[in-house]
Amino acid sequence: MNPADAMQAAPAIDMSLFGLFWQAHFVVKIVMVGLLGASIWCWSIIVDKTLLFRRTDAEMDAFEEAFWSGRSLEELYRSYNDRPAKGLAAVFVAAMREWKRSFEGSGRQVQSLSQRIEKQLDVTIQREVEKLESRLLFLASIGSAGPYIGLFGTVWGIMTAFTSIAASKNTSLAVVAPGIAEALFATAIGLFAAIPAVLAYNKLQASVAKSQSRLEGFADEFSAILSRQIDERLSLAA
Amino acid sequence: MRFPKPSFDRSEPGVWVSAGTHVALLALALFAVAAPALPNADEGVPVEVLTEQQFSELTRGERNAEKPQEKPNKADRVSEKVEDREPENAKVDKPAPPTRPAEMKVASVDEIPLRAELSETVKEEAAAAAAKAAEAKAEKAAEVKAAKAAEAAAKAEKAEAAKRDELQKLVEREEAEAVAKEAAAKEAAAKAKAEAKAKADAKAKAEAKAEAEAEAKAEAQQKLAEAKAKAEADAKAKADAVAKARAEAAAKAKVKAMAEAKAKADAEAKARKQAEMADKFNAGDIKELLANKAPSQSTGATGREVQRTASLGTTTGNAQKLSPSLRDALVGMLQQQIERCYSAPPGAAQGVILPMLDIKLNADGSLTSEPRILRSGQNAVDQSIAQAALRAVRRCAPYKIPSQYAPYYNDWKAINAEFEFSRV
Repeated sequence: MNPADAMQAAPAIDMSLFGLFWQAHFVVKIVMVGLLGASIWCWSIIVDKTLLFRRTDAEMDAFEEAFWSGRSLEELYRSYNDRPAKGLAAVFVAAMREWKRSFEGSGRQVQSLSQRIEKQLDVTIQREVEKLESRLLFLASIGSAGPYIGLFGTVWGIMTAFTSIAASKNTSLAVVAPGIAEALFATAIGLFAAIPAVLAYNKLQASVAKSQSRLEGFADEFSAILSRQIDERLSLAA
Repeated sequence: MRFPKPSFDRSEPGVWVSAGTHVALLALALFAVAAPALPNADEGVPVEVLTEQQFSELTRGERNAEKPQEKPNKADRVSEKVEDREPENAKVDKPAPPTRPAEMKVASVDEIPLRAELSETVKEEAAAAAAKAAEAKAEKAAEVKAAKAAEAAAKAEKAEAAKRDELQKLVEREEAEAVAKEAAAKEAAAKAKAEAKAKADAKAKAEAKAEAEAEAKAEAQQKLAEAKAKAEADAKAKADAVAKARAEAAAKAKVKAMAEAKAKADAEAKARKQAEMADKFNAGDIKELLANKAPSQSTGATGREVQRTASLGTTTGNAQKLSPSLRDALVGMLQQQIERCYSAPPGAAQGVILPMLDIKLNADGSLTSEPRILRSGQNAVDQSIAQAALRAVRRCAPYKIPSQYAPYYNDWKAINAEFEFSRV
């Protein structure tokens, strides 16, 4: 075919980002918009979680300092009980509450107190970790599914591109290329969303594991302290 | 999963931060990172779609031809007129001598170097030498001539002077006679006196005349002598000058004459050339010229018979190959047909090596050439079997080959195969 004919047959292609988006097929548009939304959501999670973990770390540091400063447990409990506690403080408050409750009233239910406190600690730790971990799974799913979604858009776009090639009865590269470029744009967006999601998921997951081990370490230590106290009281009572 | 609240939460600014960043990035990509201008869509490799028919025509021909045909018959159609040449005529048409196209008729004539010119220059030189010699001769001759001329002039002057005198005398006589007559006529009355007087007058006059004559003679003689002396002196000078002038004039005249002769010769030569070319000019020139300009409308060469085989190829030369199964089937078919004509030589039981035959077939199944044994065993039995097979091939000659094999004729026109025949 004549190059001149090919030029006539090939419509002028706007290769700008907006042009690529606007010329795409409806399905591909939906995929692109969805992936863009996923990217926004991923980044919002990343930002939130990063801030949250920084805050949690700071709070844990501050609580540990206060805990090992030699103040009495009663005093600590009173100062942390007023406000909604987080992290180590939440664990400490939960255990102390159970402790207080056991010594309140007439009956002293000290026999299985240490068991109860440990259960309470476990539950609290689980709750705290869940709070830290929440929404991280979304990052994981975007990280794994994003490229596939983009690929779906690409395949769809290439299908429509080939259909239009068949319609224009022209095999010149000028006709084929824009459709494929347009379609590949969907994969590009998918990767754009997925790559930061995967990286951030791994990083945040590591942070969560670190916080969890820290919580568990503190819980073990604290339950050891409490069980010593209980044993002392039991021996006093007996 | 919690969805972000519409209000701004200080502890969880992620949504807003992220959305803002994305919008900013998109805006940047849209406005700052402009799309590079694409070059004009030029097709790198112009693609032309060939139909299968066109392709097979392109690839048509024999691929393993040994050598080109010696006498290629290029005829595409049978000619309407059969041109039979006399046997004494050449086998090939003599090519027409190249004719000069009509365009270069005169322009090139001037450019043609004339041989006459060369000889002309030689002639010129010779003429110049001759002229010099002639001048020298002429000078000598002129001197001699001048001397002669001077003498002649002197003689002529003398003669003139003599004539003049005579004329004078005649005139005077006539006058005198006339006067005498008048006198005689008018004075007729007084004849006597008049006669005497007249006689006296006449005598006197005659005397006077004689005196005048003598004087004139003397004067003339003096003059002549002077003239002679002068003439001799002058004549010499004049003769020199005249001789020189004449020599120069002669030389000039010769040069002029030579130039004229040359011009004449050139003009003649030109005229002759043109005349020759005009003679040579034929209408075929114009015809050929016109034929050159017109688009070729050939519908193919004609000849006594149409060429069936393409040059170095065949009309069915699509180079299709027999598939192995087709080839096997064909060989089996041939074997079946050959077997009918095969009679085993006596004692053929020990045949070990199967004979390989080379069978060349025409498209209609007849043999193109004698079949050959390509390979057979060394012992007598094997050889006799091979010979028997050869005979069988010859005897069964036109073979029936299904029409489905026709397109593959190129592939089966020479068959080399081993044949195994049952001992009948």
